[in-house]
Amino acid sequence: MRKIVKIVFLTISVAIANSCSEDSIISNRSSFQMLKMLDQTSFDKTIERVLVMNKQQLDEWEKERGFISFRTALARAYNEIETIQSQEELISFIERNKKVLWLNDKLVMPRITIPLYQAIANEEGMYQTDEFVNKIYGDYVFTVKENHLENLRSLDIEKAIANLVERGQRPINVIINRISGIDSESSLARVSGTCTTNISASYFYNQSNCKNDREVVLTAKSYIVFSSSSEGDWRQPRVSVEVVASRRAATFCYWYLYDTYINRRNISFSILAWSNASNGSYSSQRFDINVPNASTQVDSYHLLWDYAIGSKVLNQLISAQPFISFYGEATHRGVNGNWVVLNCN
Amino acid sequence: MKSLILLILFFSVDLVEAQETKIVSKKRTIDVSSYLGLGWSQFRTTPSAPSDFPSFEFRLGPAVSIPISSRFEISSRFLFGAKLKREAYNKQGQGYTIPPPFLELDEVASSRNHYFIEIPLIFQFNLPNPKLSLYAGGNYRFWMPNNSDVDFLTNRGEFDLLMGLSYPIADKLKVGGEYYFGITKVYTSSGTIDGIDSDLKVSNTAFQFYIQYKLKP
Repeated sequence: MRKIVKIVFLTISVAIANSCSEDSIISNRSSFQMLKMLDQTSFDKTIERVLVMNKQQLDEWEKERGFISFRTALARAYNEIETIQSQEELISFIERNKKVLWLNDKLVMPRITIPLYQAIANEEGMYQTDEFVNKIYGDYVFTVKENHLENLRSLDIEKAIANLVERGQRPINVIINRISGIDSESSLARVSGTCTTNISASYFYNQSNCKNDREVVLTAKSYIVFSSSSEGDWRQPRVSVEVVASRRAATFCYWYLYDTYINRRNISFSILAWSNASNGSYSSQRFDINVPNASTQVDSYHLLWDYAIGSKVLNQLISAQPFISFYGEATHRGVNGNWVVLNCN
Repeated sequence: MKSLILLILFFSVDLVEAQETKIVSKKRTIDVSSYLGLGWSQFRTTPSAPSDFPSFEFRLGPAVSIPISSRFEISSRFLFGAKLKREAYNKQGQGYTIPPPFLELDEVASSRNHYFIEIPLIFQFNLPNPKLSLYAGGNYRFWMPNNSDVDFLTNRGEFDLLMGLSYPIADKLKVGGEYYFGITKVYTSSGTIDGIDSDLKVSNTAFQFYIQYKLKP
């Protein structure tokens, strides 16, 4: 009887272990490998697991799968930085590690700055969900169907971004979305869609299509404040929610910011930040925040709410996280009781 | 009382000198000159910010000067200028070194060049020896419109106090330095930072050196 219980227990344990590891598998290609999530549910499960893992757990998770993440490739490159003595060595180092690093105004910057993507993407910034392959590069994610993978691998990414930004041109068979920075497609709309690190919506009150037209703009921004102390470099995630009032003058219909009574309400958002464990390590955590309703006490251009989210992080390169979801409303005296609504998830 | 006596003495000297140079004064005409100034401007904030966000500025245009006595002149200018964009402290994708509520100041100072036109009205006193001129007055500055990037230095007027001194280095050429003290609040923001009420008020300040070349007479 005891033997049967043992066998049943072992079978259940193996089944549980298997069900956990089925969130993602390694997709081995001829020249490289990447993490493949079988469907959206697996992707969500993987994210949930990765977000709560510390460095050691992530290392083990990769080892179990035989996977080398962007995070690991980046860490190896960073270890090498300390040995660099000259400008020539720095140039050669950047060239060798150009898949994961780039030089921005004398600062060595990772190609992917969001830790979640660093953990699930491979050295080339790629991961697969269902039949779609995604490549993270800077503020953008490039997506192709699996059978167009070579299109993505051979794509001149810098040129594709320049074409998109300057001319609105998109490469064939490749979908490009922005994951951080200002999403031009989500601004100037009453309701926006995808959440990024910097989201904005405006309500335009059209009085005459010129003189006395008014606008109220609601902007939310996730960013990191950097400070140094004797212990090292501190980075504190913050969120800023701003409402700005503007109006249009009769002379050539030009816009300007003006002092008025500004109001905001029903603002809430969710975002990932860090919490400090008692052993000194940091783990990623979801924060659900309600912003108090408020209005300007005196006429002003600008109504601000700015708050530190989670713990500040010592000597770790973290970056601004995109909002998971955001909802908010704002108005000012000049827009005839209308409210701008900013909504993303 | 002491200052009143000094003031009377000051004007008496000027009157005496005016009488002595009566014939010359009849020949006085309006001076027209060209003006080029180079300097830098800063934001003056309450509460104080971790930086003044200094930017280079230039001004150029015609200047006129009308003598009202042997020692006093009224002058004005019609200047075109620009506050040139500076490198941002806070960079996208990196940790910000300028905290709230000053993010907007860094963004405005680094987003683009801000162009303006400016009309000062100056009262000038010319010292006999050395030939220094001291002056003070008011200045109206209008920040040019720009619908593609509207910020607090877009399509709005500003008043400043202005003071300075100049020195003639040649017959038609003089150099000088001046200071602009903005009295208009160009930016006001209210709100909360980490749950604490915050009010930010911002005015402009500028320093500049200039060269003025007399065109007429």
